[in-house]
Amino acid sequence: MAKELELNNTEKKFILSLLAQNQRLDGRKSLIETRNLDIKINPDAYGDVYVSLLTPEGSVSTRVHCKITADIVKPKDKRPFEGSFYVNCEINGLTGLQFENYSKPNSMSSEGYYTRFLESMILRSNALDLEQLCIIAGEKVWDIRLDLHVLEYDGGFLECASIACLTSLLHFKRPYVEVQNEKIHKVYTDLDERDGVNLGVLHIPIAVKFNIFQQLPTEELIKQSNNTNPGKELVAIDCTIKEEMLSNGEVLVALNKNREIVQLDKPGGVPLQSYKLLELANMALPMVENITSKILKAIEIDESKRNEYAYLLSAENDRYDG
Amino acid sequence: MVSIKYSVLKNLDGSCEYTTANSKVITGVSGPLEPKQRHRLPLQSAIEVFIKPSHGVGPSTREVLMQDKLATALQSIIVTEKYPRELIQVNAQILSNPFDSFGSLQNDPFNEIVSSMIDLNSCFNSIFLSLIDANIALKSCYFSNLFTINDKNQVINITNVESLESLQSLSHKSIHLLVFEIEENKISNILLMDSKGTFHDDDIIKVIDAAQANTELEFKNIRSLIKEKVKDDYIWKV
Amino acid sequence: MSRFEFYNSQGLRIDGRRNFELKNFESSLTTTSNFNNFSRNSQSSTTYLQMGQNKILVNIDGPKEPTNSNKSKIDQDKAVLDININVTKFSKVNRQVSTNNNNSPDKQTQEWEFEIKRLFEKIIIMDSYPKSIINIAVTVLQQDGGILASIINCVSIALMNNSIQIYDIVTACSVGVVDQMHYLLDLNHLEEQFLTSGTIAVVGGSPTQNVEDANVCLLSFNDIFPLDLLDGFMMAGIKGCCTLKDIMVTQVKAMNINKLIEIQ
Repeated sequence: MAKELELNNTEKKFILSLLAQNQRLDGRKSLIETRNLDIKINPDAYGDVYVSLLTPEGSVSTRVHCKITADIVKPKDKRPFEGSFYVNCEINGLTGLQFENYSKPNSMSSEGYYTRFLESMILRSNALDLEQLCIIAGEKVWDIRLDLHVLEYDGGFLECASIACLTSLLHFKRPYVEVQNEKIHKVYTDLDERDGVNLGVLHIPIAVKFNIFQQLPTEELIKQSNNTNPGKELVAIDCTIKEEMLSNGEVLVALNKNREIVQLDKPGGVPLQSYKLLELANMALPMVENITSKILKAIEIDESKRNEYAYLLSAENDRYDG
Repeated sequence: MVSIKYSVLKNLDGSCEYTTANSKVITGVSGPLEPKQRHRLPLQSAIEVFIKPSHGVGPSTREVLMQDKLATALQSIIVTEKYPRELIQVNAQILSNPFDSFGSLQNDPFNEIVSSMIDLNSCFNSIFLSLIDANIALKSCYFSNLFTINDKNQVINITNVESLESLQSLSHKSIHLLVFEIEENKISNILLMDSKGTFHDDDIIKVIDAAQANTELEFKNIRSLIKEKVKDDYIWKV
Repeated sequence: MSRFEFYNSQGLRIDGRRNFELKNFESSLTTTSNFNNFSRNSQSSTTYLQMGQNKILVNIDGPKEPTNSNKSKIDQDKAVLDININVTKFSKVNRQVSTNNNNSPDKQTQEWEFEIKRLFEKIIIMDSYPKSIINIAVTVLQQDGGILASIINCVSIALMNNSIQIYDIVTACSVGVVDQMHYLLDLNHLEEQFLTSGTIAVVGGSPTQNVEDANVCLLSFNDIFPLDLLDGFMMAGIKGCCTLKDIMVTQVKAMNINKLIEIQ
């Protein structure tokens, strides 16, 4: 985590007391208020997406660029009918000075953990249909690589990255491949010549992170019979980097709008009562629904822009109406 | 054609987003910083360049070569004596390259060369503006050009070629990256020249001429941009 | 795909257990064995845990003064925890042929290290060991499903054996779901492969405690699963953890009595 960033005691106290009063440092009025989401799709390419979180004043706090590239490779021997999918995300010195340029391979940072969370969120839940990526069984499959570039980092990385991943997966088109006699005849890389094929996204999982701020010292928390102190902890979503540094526990939940948990992780941190965990998972659901509709809307708007002149080419006319 | 946005990353001292017709990079400069012990030079500043490719895990050999070229060129541009025992960190993230999406599916041996030259060219220009944004002392200005000579012996400026298809239809014979040092608003030296492919002596002269003309033209824009930036940043207005 | 049968005709699981039956849990302490001479730590003891077919060794070194290599990590107020998990190549049914030659842990192991570190940082009373480092080395000798839970249990026992102060005992248990209605505790590797499963860790659970108030300190769940079943999933897991705690307490007590006798 952020090494060189350090908060002084006054600031620590201030942020915590703000949180206790249901206020946030960046001007948000509630602990469960997210920052504004802005999804920009590059109009010249497919699967090239910028997602940013905006503070209430409208300045960018976290910005992620997501890009998908595709390649034709030979499948793994164990899975001849499946393409491959791979998420790559490194946070380097461009994002902020606290991040090291050369990452050590032996240990995992929280960001590495989040990236892994994202990758398995998409892969293990079959959100991306890998079998659809097969061109010739055992010979040629598509290899989809997703690159996340974190341009600005002020917390909310997991949400931002998962939105960016799913938007670009939904938006990306791979070229149409013509197969003749078990051989690739032609790959239509020019998408103007022949329209590409969308990836098979079966459901849209969105990750949400809850940060827990437990004021009680741990021994009291564990030793006390828990009935006496219900809900002493504060739970905030979409935390900024300063809030994240003060938080002493986190819960990562990925859901889709079909009321399914795709992934749920509480990696250590302060203990949380089980009913609270349930509450959090249920709390994430409306947010996920909200985000999903935003993603779909952004894609729809982009689609209509691209097909600006579609009506000119259409054979439809008034006579068919009646 | 070229769009430049400076001060895009607020976490760093200086940054720039540089978009040409076919490529897009974002660069950041932080410095002077306290370096690690092994990077510390007694009389001058260390310069660390780090380039991340648009896709895949980097920096690979392709990026390391670019990093080296950049670092040596920057060494003679930055007033390194001004920041002894300190580090100037230059980061570049390539956001888009024309060969990204399906470039690897076409087997043209020139693709790999052209794609890294395009990145390098954009990085050079973007880093220049980032350095200015970061208030790093520079000895002189520079501007980078990228030209190709096709089989009809025409000199073509690659930064203006828009689509991948037209880029591939160029049938390059040789490709030249030229970085000019600019002093007192005049081109003084060649800072870096990197040519690949087969070409004659006359071709080089032709490319240098074209690049000189282009630099004069483009640098006017950059200069006015810097002027504007300095004016905006100058907060002690009366 | 052929459906995998989780129950035999008598309604027992493939290894003969009932739904909520835990695996055979046996832990032991190796203080005076050759292992110690081998690892040249005479002051620290090694804890061995056998949970079903999971076989795990945990060696805790510390709290001690940090060596030169990790001096930079030192914290003036608290101890620093360093966890290393070594999953041996022969631990699975199929011997893994690793592609990386520098022996760095794979992503999965790194993830476990991260989770376990975060977990025990809050469980160990770190304030009582300022400016020191606690090294926990885990060696997985054999694995048969629910390995994360077994590692957590074994580390928990090892901390007690090494007299490191902790707030309370952590127990962990893996849970699987069959047909979205039955829950299985403590999975074996076949069940883990075919079922949606997760791991849950509870600190200071006791069978008398209300299940809803149990302090969950780790939850890891990587498969798609209906939101409404989470309740039942956690209840099953917490019950398993509470039962496990009793077993662990009795075993640790027995172990340490033996140790006392040995010393005398």
